Amino acid sequence: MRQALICLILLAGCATEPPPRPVPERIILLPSTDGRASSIVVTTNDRQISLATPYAVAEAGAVATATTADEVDLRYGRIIAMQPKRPRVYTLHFVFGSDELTAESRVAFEQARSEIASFPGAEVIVIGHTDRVGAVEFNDALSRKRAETVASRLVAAGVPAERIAVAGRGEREPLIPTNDEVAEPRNRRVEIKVR
Amino acid sequence: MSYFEQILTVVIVFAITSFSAWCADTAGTVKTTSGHATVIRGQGTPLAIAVGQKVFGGDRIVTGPDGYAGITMDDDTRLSVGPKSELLIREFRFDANSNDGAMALSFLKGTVMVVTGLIAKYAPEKVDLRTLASTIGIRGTEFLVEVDAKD
Repeated sequence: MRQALICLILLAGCATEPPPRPVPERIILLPSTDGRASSIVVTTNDRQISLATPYAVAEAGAVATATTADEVDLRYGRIIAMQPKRPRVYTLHFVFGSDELTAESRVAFEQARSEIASFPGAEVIVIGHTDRVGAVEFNDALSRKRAETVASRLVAAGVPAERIAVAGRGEREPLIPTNDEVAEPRNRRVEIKVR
Repeated sequence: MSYFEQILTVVIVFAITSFSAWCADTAGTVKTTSGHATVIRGQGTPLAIAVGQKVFGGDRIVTGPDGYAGITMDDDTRLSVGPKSELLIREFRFDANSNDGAMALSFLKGTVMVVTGLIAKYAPEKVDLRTLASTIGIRGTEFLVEVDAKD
């Protein structure tokens, strides 16, 4: 009798679904290039692992471990080397009240233009900004117009127009935060982003 | 004006715009490639990717044993896909005028390195990253994901 019971239990055990094998996966936090603190949270089947230091590792959502720069380089060095180049941003300012670039900005313009050739599949995004003098909608349009002026100069300097996109951020992203309607020439700028 | 004349007028106006007004369709641009690296779009067959090529929401990037692909998304997010890997761009939208957007990626196989961009910077809750078993919530920027890790 007892043996039969054990069999039943064993069979019952076999008849139930085994718990799903955890999918082998590994998530590694890397040091950020700009030095700012970063962290990620890995959630697996309601278990959470927070990775908050460089080279912290979440394994299969269950185990928090750590790796090293050398191990990462050994195992993933080629993938890291094949990542796209970091975008570069050049900030241009205009002589007050005119369409003329300042002397420093003419240099930056040239650097941006020549940098384009070093980016495979290059894209150029020209983004205009204003200070907070004037209405929000007016500054949206003005910032975009400023960006288009710089974009036209890039085309005149030989950059294919189809590689260039323009945007206007208006007064939404000041370099120097100010109150509304405060003039701040350093916020009146155009950024050339090459990526 | 007849209905068709009205439609034609709209098309002509767009064509006159000299620079791309922020194009909402593309998700990113291929910047590096090596070995066998392809994109699968919809029900299509795998197409070899080329530097400068655009990728779109819905695209699946699939690499062979020697394949690598580096993609910069329209919000500056950088992806580096390693060999024997599969990455699905579930959703991507970004407006450079407002910095508003959303990005959803699935890491289905292999290894991908991610450096997050402007969507993660301004709205990390709009970044949806998944492996087969996990979701990854972002507070920061750079990480590696390896699925089917064999040791």
